[in-house]
Amino acid sequence: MSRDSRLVLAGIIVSLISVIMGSVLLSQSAETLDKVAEHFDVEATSIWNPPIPDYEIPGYEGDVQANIAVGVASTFLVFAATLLVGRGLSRRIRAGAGETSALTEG
Amino acid sequence: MHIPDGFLDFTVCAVTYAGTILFWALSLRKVKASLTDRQIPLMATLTAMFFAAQMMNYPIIGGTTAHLLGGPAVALTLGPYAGMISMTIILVIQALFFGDGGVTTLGANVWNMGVVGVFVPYAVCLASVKLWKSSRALLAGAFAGAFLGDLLAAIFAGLELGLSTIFPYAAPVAVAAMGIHHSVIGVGEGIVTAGVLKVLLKSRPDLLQYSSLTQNLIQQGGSR
Repeated sequence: MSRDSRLVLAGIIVSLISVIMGSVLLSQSAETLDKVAEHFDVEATSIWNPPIPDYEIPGYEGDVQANIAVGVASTFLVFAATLLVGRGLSRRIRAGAGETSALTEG
Repeated sequence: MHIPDGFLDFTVCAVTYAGTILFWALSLRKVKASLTDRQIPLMATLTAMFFAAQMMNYPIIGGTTAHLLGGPAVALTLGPYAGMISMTIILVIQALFFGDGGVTTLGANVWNMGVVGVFVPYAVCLASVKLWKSSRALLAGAFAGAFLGDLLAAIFAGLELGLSTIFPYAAPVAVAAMGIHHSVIGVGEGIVTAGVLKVLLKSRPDLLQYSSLTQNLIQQGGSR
């Protein structure tokens, strides 16, 4: 296994530990902004219905295993999305470089 | 710090979207010109790591909780432009899939956490390294930059809330409320950011070459 692959593996392990800790031990969220809004009596008005509101599958609220599953799946989603965006941007460089090279050579 | 829909009025949403779109355009152009194939898995790993880290809420003051943002560590490792793209991916997925932050307020959230929370730490760390040219300066700059980045991001969030006609209080009240709590969060972010850099400096200094601020330091053999 290459050093880069080991780094990715280590990052995924750290991510999974974070998800488990965030679902089991450190799941209680009372963010400053929520407290400030509560104090000022302002309520959020959603214009978009997210499929998994507050990281909990509807009907499985408070279920630690379901929350871990959501956390793991969404972490891989972020990983995959970043890979796709990165490869998309990187591909454009190569395509552009190829075009430039072809034009220069032509 | 994720501002939901309904907290900001149209003007604040439009202004913050405009500022964010400018930085998106700049960052995409810079990343397209510099992103290497080898850098992509590192970028994806760090983005996933800090997305996961945001799920851990630790208690701070006044019965509130906090979580890491991750922007400073990503910025100092990959550079601010790739850092902004990473934070944008996190914030878009959080808003669309989990309702963590709004859609109309996405511009404000990316501005706070993806622009201020990324470029400020980078600028502070760059200044520190340029002044003192040592790995200690890098770590001290990483801590100070992450602290200031989080604090300023919170101050911007408070300012946006205060300027929004939906919030019935003036900007100083919201800025103070957000700033005081997030100064505590900034200390945690600073420790983690400096820790991540210290580990990478020792184990994989080659990866830090992507960030121009550490590139010169590593080339000079700066391990003091």
